[in-house]
Amino acid sequence: MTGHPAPDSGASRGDTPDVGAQLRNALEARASRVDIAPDALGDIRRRIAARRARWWMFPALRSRGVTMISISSALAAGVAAVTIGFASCTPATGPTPIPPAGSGGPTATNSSPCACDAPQFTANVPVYYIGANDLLYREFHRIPVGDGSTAARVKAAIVQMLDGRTAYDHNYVSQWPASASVRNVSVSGGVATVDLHGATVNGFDPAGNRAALQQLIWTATAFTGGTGVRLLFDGQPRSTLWASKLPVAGVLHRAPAVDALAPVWVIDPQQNAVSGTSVTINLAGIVFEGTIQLRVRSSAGKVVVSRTVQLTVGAPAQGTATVHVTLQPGTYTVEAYAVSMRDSSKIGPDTHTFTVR
Amino acid sequence: MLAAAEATGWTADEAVTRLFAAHYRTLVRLATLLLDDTGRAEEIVSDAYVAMHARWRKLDDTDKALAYLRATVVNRSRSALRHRRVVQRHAVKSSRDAQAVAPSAEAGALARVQQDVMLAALGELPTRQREALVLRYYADLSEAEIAEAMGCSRGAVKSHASRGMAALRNRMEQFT
Repeated sequence: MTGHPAPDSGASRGDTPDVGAQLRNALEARASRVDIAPDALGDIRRRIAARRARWWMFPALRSRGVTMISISSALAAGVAAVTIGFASCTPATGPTPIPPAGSGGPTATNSSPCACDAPQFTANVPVYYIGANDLLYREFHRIPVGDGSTAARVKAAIVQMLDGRTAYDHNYVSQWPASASVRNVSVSGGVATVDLHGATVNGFDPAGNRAALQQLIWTATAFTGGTGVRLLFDGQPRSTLWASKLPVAGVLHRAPAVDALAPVWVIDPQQNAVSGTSVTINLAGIVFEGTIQLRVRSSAGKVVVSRTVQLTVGAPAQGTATVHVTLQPGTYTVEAYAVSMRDSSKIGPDTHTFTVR
Repeated sequence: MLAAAEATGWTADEAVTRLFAAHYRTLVRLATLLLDDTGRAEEIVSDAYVAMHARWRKLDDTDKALAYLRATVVNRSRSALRHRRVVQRHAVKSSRDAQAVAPSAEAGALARVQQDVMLAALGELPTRQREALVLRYYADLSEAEIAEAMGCSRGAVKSHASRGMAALRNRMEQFT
């Protein structure tokens, strides 16, 4: 979308060249930071399939000889029925396992059962987990997010994050105590205030404890405009947390990405994702000169894709890259890693298993 | 980008897959610039693809489809902004102001002060002016394409762009 000459619209052409250039640069910089959630195509396909299913639920629509008027009437009835279906409330069920983004499950906005009068929304929210070497990895989880507000999204993400078992990749964990739960989340002026319960006792592990705190901070500030987190414990602030005495007073901010994030991420496909034969592999990394290695192996262990990938930028910034490959149906493992300049060993390998259908 | 095409002969499913690969990311970025909310932007773009799937028999042309997707994204972004503003009227003003200019933590060190000021000023413009400028300076659309996406005349596009640019110029002069 960039690099073309300015359109010859005449509107403001030539009168504000500096502001125009500044605006273009600002827009491009902002756009370059837009992080696309994985499996968006799968989500669209599922919504189309759900739409088709609703259509086939009304045989009258498909019968021959139906006049346009009756079609319109039936459509109106169908829409009304669906609308009523969405609006009617069913008892809230307990938490259920959230399937990976690529494996189906509830996806359509407003389609999840609700326990109140307000509409319930479902969204892809970023959730951070701890992987090898106490560094963070991010997954996108499509989960119910209450009324869809920023606070509700942050709360939903933290609830997911606290339970490490929700990670699609079983190598990722949460290092928060199992008893931890979220009492409330509010967002004001870019700062999320998170009130936790049952989170004040944890095993002594300074590095793991620091990672856990960053895990929460990165998850809670992943919303647009998020700058920091204020932590409360049963409604009260604390100066330190756990036996490792982590300072938690005031507004907490993200540690630098180069210190907190794993050096290489396989963003997409996520663990256990299902895709078509045209597979898009999204990678990110904070590595020297932005160069990482990509391998895709079949279930038999045969390397079917092997290439060096150049990320958009090198360390200390996190670069990204997208690779398109075509694969035959089957189960595959995608692995990405950097190579040590010292001894050529693998640095920060991240692997995900996925299925092509 | 897909090349300009006549009738494609694609099924609606095939069209979604191909047009997704070609335009999804760009449309999400466009919607994000209009809304400043990536999550909502993705939902709106997904909505546009689902709607396009339903209309594919009438479109069956990559250029028409892209124009339809773009116009749908612009329209739905406008509706979302309108809804957000209604909600914000009930919010505490100080919170709203602080959040509007707060740099995203996701953005990290990439944010620059001048760009933040420019984007904040853009966010304060009336919706139509913002749309005209984003479509011109980010999407690089012609005046006719902008008019089609916004559903207005070329003269209106000129007017919106001119007024928006004047407001931005004033704001940046104050900044410098």
